[in-house]
Amino acid sequence: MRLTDNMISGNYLKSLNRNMRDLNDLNTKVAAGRRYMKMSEDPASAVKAFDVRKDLTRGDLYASTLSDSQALLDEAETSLSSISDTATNALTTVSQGINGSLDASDRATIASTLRSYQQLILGAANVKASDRYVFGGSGFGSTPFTLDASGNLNYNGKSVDNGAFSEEHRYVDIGLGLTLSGSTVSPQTALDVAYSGAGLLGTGKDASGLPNNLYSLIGVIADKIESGDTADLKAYTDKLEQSADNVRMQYVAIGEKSNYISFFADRLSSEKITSSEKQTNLEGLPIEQGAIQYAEQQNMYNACLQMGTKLIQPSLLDYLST
Amino acid sequence: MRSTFYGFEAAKSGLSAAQAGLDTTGNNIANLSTEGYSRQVVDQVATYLGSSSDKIAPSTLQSEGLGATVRGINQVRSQFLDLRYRDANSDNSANAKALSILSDVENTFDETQSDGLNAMLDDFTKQLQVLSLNAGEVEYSSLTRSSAQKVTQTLNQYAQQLASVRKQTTDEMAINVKDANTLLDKISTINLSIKSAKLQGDGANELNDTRGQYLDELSEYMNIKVSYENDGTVSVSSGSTTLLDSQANTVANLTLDDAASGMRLMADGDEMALTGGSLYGAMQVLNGKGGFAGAGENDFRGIPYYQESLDALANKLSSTLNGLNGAGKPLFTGSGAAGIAVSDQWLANPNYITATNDADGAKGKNDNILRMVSAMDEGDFGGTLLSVMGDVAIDVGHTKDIAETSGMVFQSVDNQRESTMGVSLNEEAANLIKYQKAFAASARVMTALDETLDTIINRMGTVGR
Repeated sequence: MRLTDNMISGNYLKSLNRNMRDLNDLNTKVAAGRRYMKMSEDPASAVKAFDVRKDLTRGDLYASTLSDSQALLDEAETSLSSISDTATNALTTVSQGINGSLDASDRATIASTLRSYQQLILGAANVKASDRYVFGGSGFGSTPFTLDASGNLNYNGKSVDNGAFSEEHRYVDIGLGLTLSGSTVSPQTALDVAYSGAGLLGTGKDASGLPNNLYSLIGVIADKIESGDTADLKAYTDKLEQSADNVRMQYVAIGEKSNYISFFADRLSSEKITSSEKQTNLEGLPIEQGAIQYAEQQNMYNACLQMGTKLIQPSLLDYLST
Repeated sequence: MRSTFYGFEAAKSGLSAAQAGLDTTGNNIANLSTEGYSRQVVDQVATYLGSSSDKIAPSTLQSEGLGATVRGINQVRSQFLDLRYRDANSDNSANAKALSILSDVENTFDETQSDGLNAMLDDFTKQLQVLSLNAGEVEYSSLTRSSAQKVTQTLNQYAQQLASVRKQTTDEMAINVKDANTLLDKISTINLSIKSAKLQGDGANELNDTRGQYLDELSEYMNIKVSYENDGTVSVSSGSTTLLDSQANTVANLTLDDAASGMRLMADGDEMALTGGSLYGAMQVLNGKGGFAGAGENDFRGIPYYQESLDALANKLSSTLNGLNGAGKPLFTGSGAAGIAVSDQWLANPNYITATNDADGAKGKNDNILRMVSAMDEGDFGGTLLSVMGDVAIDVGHTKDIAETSGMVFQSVDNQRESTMGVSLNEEAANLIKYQKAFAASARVMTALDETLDTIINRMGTVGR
C-alpha cells in the first residue's frame, strides 16, 4: 500500500483528536467524581441509579412521616399522663366526699374541685400539636370535645353518653406498600395515626346506668356530692377507679405504637445507608481509579504530541544533491 | 536506408517526454495538499513506426523505432474506490447525523446531573404524602399544587425542547437540500465542460477532480449512484430516483415536504426513498415513531416516539388524578405534554384537591389523598419515564457504537482511496531524478549523434591531408 503524506498527517490528527477527547472525558469525570456524565454512557447503571435516588428520597420522606407521627404520639402521651393524674386526684377528692360528716359548704367545695378537674381533663383532651387536635380521631381540624347548652360533653358533635361511635382511622404511608380496596386502606399497609377521643375518655353507659365517660362520671359524682346524695356513692367511686385504670391502660397501647415506629425508623436509617452505598457504587468514581486512568491517558496524550513533532519525516527530496 | 537525421527525432522525443514528466512531477508536488486532487502520470509509449496503412511504408529492415510519444497526462483514480468512498460516506453521515440529533434528545431527558421530570414526579408524590399528614391545611395543599405545577411545566418544557430539536433539524435539512440542489447544478455544468474538453482531446483531469469532489459532497447528504457515460459525463441517481441525467440533460429539483405523516424529501414532486446520507439520518429521527408506529410507518425510535411517550404520560397523569379528584373537578387541564397545565379552579383554590370522600369532609381526613398517593405508585409514572429515558440512552449508546464503526470503515476506505490517488513526496522525488536523468541522457544522445555527423562531414575523406 502506498503511503502518502496526507494520509499520515490525517490519521495522526484523528488519533490526536481521539486522545484529546478521551482526556477531556476523563478530566470531566474526575472533576465531578462521577463514573458517567450522561445516561448513554452507562444506561443500565443510570436507570438503576435513578431508582436508588427515588429510594433515598422516599426513605427521607418516610423517616420524616415517622418522626411526625412520633411527635403526635408524644403529645398524646403527655395529655394522657395529665388526664391520668387528674383522675387519681379526683379519686382522692371523691373519697373525702364519701365521709358523711361534711356540711353543705364542704360538699360544695369538693364538687367545685371535681368540676375544675373536669375542665383540666377537657383541656388535656382538646390538646393541639402543630395546629392539629391530637385526639380528633380521623379529622383534626375542629375541637373534638365540646359542651352543649346544658353542659353535657359532646365528641365530634355527638353526645358521649348517648351517641354511637365507630372506630376511627387516619392512615399515613410509611413505605409498607400502601394499598386501598375502594377507598378503604388495608390496615397492614399503612400506619394508623388516629387517636380517638371517644376511646380515650369512654362513651356510653354501663349496665347499671353509670356513664363510661370519665368527664361525665366526674360530673355526675360532683352533682351527687353537692346534693348530699352520697349513700350509693361507692358504686360511682368504683366506676371512677375503673375509668382511671382505663386511661392508664392506654399508655401500653401508645408504648407499643412507639416501639413500632422506632423499629421502622431504625430500619429506614439502615436502608438509607445501604442505598447510599449503592448510589456511590453506581454513580461514584473511586478517586484513585480516576486518578490512575487520568495519568495513563495524560501519558498517552503527551506521547502522541511528542510523536507529532517527528511526524513529517525527511523525504527523498532532502537528500537530492542538486 | 537510414536517413541522415533519423536518430535526432528519437532523441528529441526523449527530451520532450522527459520534459513532460518533469512538468507533471512539478504539478503533482505543487498540488501535494490540494483537496480532491488525484495525482497525474505521463502516459508515455514507444512511438510505433510503420504501418501498412502509411502512404510510404518505411523499410522493414529498419526497426530502431522513433523514440517516445507522450499520449497524454492521465490521472490515477479508481472509480471502484470512488464508489466505495461515497457509499461509506453516506452511511457514516447518516449515523453521525442521527447520533447528533439523538444526543440533543438525550440532553432533554437526561437528569444525571440535574433534576428533571423524574425528580419532579417524585417530588409531587412526596408532597401528596406530606399533604396526607396535614390533609385540608391550605399551606400544604398549596405546596402540593406548586409541585404539580412544576410537573406540568417540566412536561411543557420537555415537549418544547423536543419541538425545538425538530425545528433546528428541519432548518438544517432545508439548507442541506438547497446545497444538494446547487451541487447537482454544478455537476451538470461541469459535465458539459468535460464533454467539450474531451471532444477537443483534452483529458480534463482538473475538471474531473472538481466533479469528483462535488459528488463526494453530495454523497454526504444522500446515498447516490454515479453512472459514467461514454462522453465523459456522469448521471446521478439515488435509489430509483434519477437526480441528474446527462444524456437527456435534466436535473431534478429537490424539495422538503413537512407532511403530517412526517418529513419527506421530494425530487420533482415525487417522494424519494433514501437509504443513506445525513438527510436520511435526520429523517429517521424526525419520523421514527418507535413502538407507536402503525403498519408501514417508520419504527425507528425518533422524536415522534418520545413526543408520544411524553403525551401518553401527561394524559395518564391528568386522567388518573382528575378521576380521583371527583367528577367535574379537574386538577389538570389540557392534553399532551405540550398542553397540560394545572386547572384554573385548583389555581384559584389550593384546597380544590379533594382530601376525603367522607360527606362531612372534616379537616384531617386524608383517604382520597392516600388514594392519589397509591395511584401515583400504581401508575408507575416514574417507571414509565425511566423506561423512556432508558430507551434514549440505549439508542444514543447504540448509535454511537454504529457511528464509530461506520466512521472507521469510512476512514479505511478514505485511506485506500488516498493510497491510490494521493501524492507521495518520495515517489515524486524519485520521478524527479528519473526524468532529470532521462532528460540528460536524451541530450547526451543528441550530442553523440552530432559528433557522429561531425565525423562524417568534417573528417571523412580527408586522408593524407
